[in-house]
Amino acid sequence: MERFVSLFVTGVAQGAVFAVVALGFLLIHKATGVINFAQGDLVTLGAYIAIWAATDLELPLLGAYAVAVAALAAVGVLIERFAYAPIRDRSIHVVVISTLGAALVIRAVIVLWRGTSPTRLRGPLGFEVVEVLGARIPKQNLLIIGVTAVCVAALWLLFHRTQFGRQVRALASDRMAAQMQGIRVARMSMLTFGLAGGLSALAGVLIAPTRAVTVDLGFGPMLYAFAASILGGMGSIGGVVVGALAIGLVQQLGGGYLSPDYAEVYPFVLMLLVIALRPQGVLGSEVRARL
Amino acid sequence: MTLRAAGIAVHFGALRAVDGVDLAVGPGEAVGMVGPNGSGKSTFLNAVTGVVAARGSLEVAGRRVPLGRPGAIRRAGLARTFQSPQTFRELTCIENVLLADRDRHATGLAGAWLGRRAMWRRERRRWARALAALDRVGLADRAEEPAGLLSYGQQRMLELARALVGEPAVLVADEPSAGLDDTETAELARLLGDLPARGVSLLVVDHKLDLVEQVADRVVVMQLGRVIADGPPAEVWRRDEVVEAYLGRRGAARG
Repeated sequence: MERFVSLFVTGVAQGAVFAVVALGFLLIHKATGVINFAQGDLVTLGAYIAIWAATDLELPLLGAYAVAVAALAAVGVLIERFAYAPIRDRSIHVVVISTLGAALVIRAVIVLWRGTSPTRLRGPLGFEVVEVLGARIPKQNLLIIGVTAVCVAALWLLFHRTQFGRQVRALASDRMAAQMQGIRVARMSMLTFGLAGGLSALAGVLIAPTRAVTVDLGFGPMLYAFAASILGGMGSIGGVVVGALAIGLVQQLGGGYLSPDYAEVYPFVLMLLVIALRPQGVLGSEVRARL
Repeated sequence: MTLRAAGIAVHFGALRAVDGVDLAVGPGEAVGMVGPNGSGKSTFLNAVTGVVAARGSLEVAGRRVPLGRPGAIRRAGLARTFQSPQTFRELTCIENVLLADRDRHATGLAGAWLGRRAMWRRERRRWARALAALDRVGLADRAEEPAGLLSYGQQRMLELARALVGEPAVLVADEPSAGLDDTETAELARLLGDLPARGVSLLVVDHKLDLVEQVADRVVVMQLGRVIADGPPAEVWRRDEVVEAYLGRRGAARG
């Protein structure tokens, strides 16, 4: 039982981080139709900026986190301006390749700036643990779950209760019609890239205390977040969150009970199964052609 | 002038779909545009709403607006409904209408949180206006349903509510009665007929000439990309060139 609880909580916490990254994917995809593959390196950059702010600037930890989130929101806007806006009207492949280019630039900047040796970011709770049903759970994992829950709720409100959210959803529904309604498409894509940048930084500072920080920190979360987006059908916040949690859980429970050697593979087996059986995603609705 | 389009020209290769059309619609004026198929009516509407590239100049509510910029044209006060309704199917009816509200202020996450009291106030006012617009077209009780669940005729009405909530200076309606039955067409005529009194100018293209006659106090006839007649309906129908270009078909259609 302890083992199950421990694996379960770790799985949910991992899934929560994937969910935060995947929500960034979702936002940008809805507003622009593009998948931003720089998202993973933004996670890494967020963690490094937090480390820099906490050690070099000696800011308190929460201050360092805030600096990272704000800086990454700005980086998100820069990516939109330089890697997306100039080629917005080109084919989707060109745009996606351009985000990959941005990812490589960010990665190179990190290596030039902080080197390649692994480093650490403290968590606000250190290595404290709490006992739940006999299992020793790191408090950081509970923090990750809590922060993600708040984040998801805030985004849901933003999507469904504000003019900004309606505009994003209208763009996802029909770009041309949305433009005809006077929605400022360029402004919306800047805002969503910025917001997604901030979300990446949040994922970065949440996950960094649980492992060594290297330039590859964000790669895994991005891959799983992408799988989660596909599981969720790339449509709704609920779908993406369910997909991300499923991936975190499959990874941890599969690694714990089946074989840890294949822990990285289980999520993708799940993804392939879903694609084969339910191509529209777990919560996605069937795609209907417009009459 | 509420709408002033001058020298509008659209060429598709060698074809002059719209060949230098001037059209002005005054405040509270309702203008019908008619003409045989292929005469350039829809292309003209596409040009003044920014959907196709065009030459010429455009003024909406006294302000010059660049052609080819649908968003800017909409924000300047020119609203449009389409031949086949373009609603956001995944959004609820009221969300469809809210999107087009004249208060376009939208903030990101941080702004929404910092200015949340002002935001909620704006939201409440937007909802009141959107509900009133839905009520006008008889869809108030469907407000919370996804637009995709509405019937074809109801989608048209929703599109009309969305066009009108922003208090546009002018409504451009492209074949608004297409696909509507007689009852729905009568309701549409009532809604369009009310517009001038509410200070909204109207430019309507429709094949149902009775509808055009009912709502418009001026008719513009197009043929081969040019305006061939412009005046009060009764007078326009009598002109020889109009009879030749158009009314022969009208008689045939009625037979």
